[in-house]
Amino acid sequence: MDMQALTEAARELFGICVAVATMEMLTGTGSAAKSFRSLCALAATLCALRMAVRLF
Amino acid sequence: MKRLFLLAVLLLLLIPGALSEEPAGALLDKAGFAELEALSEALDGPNVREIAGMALSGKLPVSRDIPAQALRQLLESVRSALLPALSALVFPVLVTLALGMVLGADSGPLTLLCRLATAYSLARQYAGALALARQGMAVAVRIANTAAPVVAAALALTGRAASAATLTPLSAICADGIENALVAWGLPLSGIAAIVAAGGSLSDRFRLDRLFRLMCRAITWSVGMLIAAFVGLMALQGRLAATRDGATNQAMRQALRGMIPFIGGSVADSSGALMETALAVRNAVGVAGMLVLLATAVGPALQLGAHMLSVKLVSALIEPVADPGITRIAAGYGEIARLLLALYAGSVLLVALLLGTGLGLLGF
Repeated sequence: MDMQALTEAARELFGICVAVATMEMLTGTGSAAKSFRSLCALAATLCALRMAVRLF
Repeated sequence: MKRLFLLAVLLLLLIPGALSEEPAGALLDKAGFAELEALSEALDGPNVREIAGMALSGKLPVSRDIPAQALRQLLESVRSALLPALSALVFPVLVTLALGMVLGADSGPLTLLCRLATAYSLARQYAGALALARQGMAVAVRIANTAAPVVAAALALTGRAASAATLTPLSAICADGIENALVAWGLPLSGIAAIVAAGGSLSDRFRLDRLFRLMCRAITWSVGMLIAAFVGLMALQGRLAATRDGATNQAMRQALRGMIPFIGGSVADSSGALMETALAVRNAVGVAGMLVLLATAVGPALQLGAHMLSVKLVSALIEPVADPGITRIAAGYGEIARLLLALYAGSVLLVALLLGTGLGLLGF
């Protein structure tokens, strides 16, 4: 298991979460926030998948 | 014939002496007990020679106030861990409450800042607990590496050469399991789970609860599976080795009976008494090793337990008033503290199982 890569993926995931939270807090729950969230959800899924591949 | 008779008389004279404490002490030294003594001294552990002496005379240093003392220590550790956990959470909770009252629904960005501050201060506490667990696990490995050869030598003294021979690879597997699975994978994975717990709680609509739960479950299952596999391996090895040792000892007794005329039978019978003395020595080594492990493990285990309890307690206390994100972050870190405790307890249990062979556990 590649711990270094796993940690990097986790940090990216954390960054995505911070970005989503910031966007939501700044713009409320408008359509811009919604589309940004969908984009981030896609990136987060990729991150989580990468983590799963490293894990198992 | 005359020489054989003299030899037999000499043996009979020596055997009652073997039951006194002095030869037992010599047997302890033969098993390399001094190394265990030095390790216990280096780790501020108990006086193992005293413990071994007490175990040889059939007593154990057990007093009635041990449960009360343990409870007092736990409460003290909780009290000292509660303050940092409280201080980490009270400030952000109060600020979010005040913001909610003053700004109403517009407090978004500041609430996010409060959540980040909570995650940061809890992460710092987690880092302290992580270092404690890592240090404790290194000590456990050190005890396993020092005590296992002593236990193996004591096992060999009781005529269990095959059991002693299986103990060395088992101790290598134990140390390897702790270092390469629990320390190298388990601890970093708990750190990644902590990042996921913090990140997934920052926004109310963007959550990573399931990923976090999956990671926690993966760590818990890995620890459980490692312990189960080790117990299975030890029980199997112990059974096989014990059968082989039994056959060897039986053959030795038969040979004694047949080879020495007239008194061969009594020599063979008294070999049983010698074995019993060696068995007492083996038990003494086992008890001493186990107590060194317990004495060094109880401090970190209590501190990690207190850390877990205090984070969980504070997250439960703030739930009715705090911002949901902050509560979720605190609950996540409580779960991570539980994982750290499980990883540490798992490594101590592995070493305890290994040293338990000195007390005849798992078929040894």
